[in-house]
Amino acid sequence: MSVLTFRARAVLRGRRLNPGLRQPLAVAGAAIAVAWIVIAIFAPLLAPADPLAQSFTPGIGPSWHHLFGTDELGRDVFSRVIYGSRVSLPIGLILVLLAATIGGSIGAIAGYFRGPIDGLFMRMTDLVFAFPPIILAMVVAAVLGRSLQNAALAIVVVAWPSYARVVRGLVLTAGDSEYVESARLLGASARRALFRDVLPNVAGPVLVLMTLDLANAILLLSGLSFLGLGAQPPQAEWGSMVADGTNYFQWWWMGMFPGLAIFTVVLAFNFLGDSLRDVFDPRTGFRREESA
Amino acid sequence: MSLLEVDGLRVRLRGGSGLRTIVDGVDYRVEQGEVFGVAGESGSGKTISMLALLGLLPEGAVVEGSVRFEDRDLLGLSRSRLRAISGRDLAMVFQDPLTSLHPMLTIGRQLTEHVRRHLGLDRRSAERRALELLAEVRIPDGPAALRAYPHQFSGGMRQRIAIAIALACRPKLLIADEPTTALDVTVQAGILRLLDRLRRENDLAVVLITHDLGVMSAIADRVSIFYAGRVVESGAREAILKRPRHPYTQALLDALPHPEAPRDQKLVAIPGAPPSPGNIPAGCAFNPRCSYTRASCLVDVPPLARVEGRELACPVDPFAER
Amino acid sequence: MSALELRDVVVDYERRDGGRVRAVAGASLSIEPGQIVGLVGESGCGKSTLARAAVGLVKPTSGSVVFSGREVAPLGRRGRQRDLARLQLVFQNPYSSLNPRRKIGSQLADALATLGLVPASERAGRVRELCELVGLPAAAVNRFPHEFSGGQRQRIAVARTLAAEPSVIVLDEPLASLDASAQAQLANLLVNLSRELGLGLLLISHDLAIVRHVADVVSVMYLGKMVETGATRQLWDQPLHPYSEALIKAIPHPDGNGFLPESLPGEVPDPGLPPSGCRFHPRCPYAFARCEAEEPPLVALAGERTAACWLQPEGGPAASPAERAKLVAGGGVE
Repeated sequence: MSVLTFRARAVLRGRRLNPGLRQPLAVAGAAIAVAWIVIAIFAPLLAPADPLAQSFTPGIGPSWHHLFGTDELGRDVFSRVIYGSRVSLPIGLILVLLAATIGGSIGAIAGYFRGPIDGLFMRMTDLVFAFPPIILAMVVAAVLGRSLQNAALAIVVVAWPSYARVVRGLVLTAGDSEYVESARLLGASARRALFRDVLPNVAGPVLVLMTLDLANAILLLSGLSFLGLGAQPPQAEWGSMVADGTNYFQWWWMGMFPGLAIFTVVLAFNFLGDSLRDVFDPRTGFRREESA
Repeated sequence: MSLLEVDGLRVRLRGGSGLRTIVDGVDYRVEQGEVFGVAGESGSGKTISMLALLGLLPEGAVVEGSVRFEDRDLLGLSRSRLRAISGRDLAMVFQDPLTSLHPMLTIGRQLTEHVRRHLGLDRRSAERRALELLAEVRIPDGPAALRAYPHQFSGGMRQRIAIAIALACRPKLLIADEPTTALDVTVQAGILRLLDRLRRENDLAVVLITHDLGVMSAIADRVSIFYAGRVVESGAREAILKRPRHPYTQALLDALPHPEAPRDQKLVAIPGAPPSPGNIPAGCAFNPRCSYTRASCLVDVPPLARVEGRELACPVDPFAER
Repeated sequence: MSALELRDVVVDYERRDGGRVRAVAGASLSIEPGQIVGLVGESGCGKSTLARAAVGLVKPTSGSVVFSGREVAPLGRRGRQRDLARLQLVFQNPYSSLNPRRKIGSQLADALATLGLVPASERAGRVRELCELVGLPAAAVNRFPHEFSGGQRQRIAVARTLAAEPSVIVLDEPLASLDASAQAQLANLLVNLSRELGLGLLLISHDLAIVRHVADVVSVMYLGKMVETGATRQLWDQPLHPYSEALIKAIPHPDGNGFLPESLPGEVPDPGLPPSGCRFHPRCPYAFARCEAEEPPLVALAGERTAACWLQPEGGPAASPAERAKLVAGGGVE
């Protein structure tokens, strides 16, 4: 008789990815995200200096008085990074909400009515999808004029199609689902049955998409600002700060810290989004007993 | 020495809250050339016990006991050694051929690849062998079939192909897990006849796992009934299915409609439901649903005892006169 | 007047690659009040599509579905006609027809609310009655679907259709995903409900053995057509259509006798490309010249039986295909 721990590779369907790894990442992601939100809310209390005040000696490296150093105009980088969160995070959030609402509505209408309306809306979606997002965003931002609001608008234009696709797909499958059919056999109207079944199911995937999209939105916003199409000087925005930093390579702290800020925020929301996806995935989140 | 000897096989799987016992001490023997039926409902552990043989259990499974195939302990083998045996001397066919056949490779590729890996044949011989196999399982137009993809075949044909692949290296033992459950009844009959013919022609031993006692009765020589991870009764097919002595076996048969029984004979449902692996009752796992329970049934796990030519795990033995 | 009658129903649908497939090619059947009709057939015969057409989930391309004397309008964008509520359907998969996030008590109450048959104050009581009717404990009301076994979930689905006080329930493979004991339980429940409440049932199943136990009348379908109907006992003892005969011979017997069921040569053809003449002729052991040329209509035979086979002449006595084949061979044209 032998006792073994058998570490065989899973061949069965429904294999679960190593659950041990997921948790720490999700927790880390949530912690960082929450930290940044707190920073954004309490920025005036946390920042030692006015982000726009050119009151200090330019070019000081990271030190006790200036944790992230000062930039070429004598502004405290630490304060600017903190205030930068007030630009990226709220705008990112609003963008994503707008894109989700617009895209989701378009997708829902397409999926509900099907037919030619569906065709029209989906061709519009395909049209936007045909362009690489950055290029399209750049074009829209350039056409509208250089400002933060216009950059934000450009990003909404680029982001809404994903939501349209996802929601349309969910509405289509929900419409054919047996649950909805049962409800309709009992006399519920198509609209009522869809609302009762689709809404709970839509919330999950859309929330996941929004979380991941937030990361993308912030990245895109920073990118556009980096190119000069978004936030305009002297506003403290991470992307434009990185752009300034490229002109002053010897003062590496000018570009490095805003860059790190972007990096940590994007990473945090990606982790968060991934773990949310697991929660909502019917196979890992809502486990049913598969018997032998 | 039997072809396959399983002793005290216990399998525990990692669940949400620790380990759960799926197979709880199972013993049986399979002889050369016989069809051994493993019957049980959902949660009985019949499939997991077979997967343990082939090293196909999920991550973190704990296996105890011994599984000897041709006098080699399968549980102690390294993965590479196990892979050498499985596919060559030991093969398995699953319920849904759609998932066990590779959707992107032609049938020819799948057949020849298998043969070349295990028998080291060159391409020409492998192709010849593939055509032979397709003929054996009665797939018409072999050459065309070789160039086709799994989705171009019906469920029954795909199952025949899966059987052909399994038999490619002339294994001694074929494990078939619910091979006909997903098929229509006429197609099922075809597969059963195929299995019956193949095992006679090739002196092949078959372990047939199914919940369908009719399927079992069609081709099994010996039958073993699983319940909640344990064997409750085992013996010759005719004895077990015609004169069952374990209350569960009898209850199962009472619940089944027999095509020739009088129409107004009532189907008797077994009260309750089979226990899920985390909630096995103490003592005899069947006791909550059994009509013949005694006090001892709630406490002692009945051992599988040899009783007049069969194995029976029921000290109460209410049908002893059979 | 039949409770539910399908007359020459034809259902086409569009396949993903653009072709049209005739899933049901002209099927007729009727269900009398309190009668259990079994519809059997293998994959590709169109029985599921027929079930959906029978309750109005799918619009027939031609033919009609008549419920209690009125034509059944297929489901449109608005709610279903009030009087159609008494025609219900139970799906095959008990998991997907229940909302996993709500307690079953509230789902049943919801059904009652939608139907508007019971005032709000009495709903809780009626929900408990429904649970009792299908043999579920009263405590079940507060549990979620995943806390029940497959068999119990299916009974919840039946309870929900009972909320509509139906006169006819169509059941599409209700037993397929259940284990033996749950099948027996559900089968017994259906028979009891039919007798006690005078319900007409259309039970669609590929499991002939259970249908034999439950149904009063059996209809056999093959590739979109009805090939035989008759009282269960007679059909079983003496099938008149070669396909019915083959189906019965293919059923395994769980008695330990080692009966090896018989199979049919060939495969079910693609419903999009049915064979010429009689759809079954390529696989039929009795096929002769006429079978390939002309499609036999479903004709009435003695003893309230029908069959669609050139071996069985209209109004003729009920005789097995083998006997009829001998007569035909001996005496020439029927």
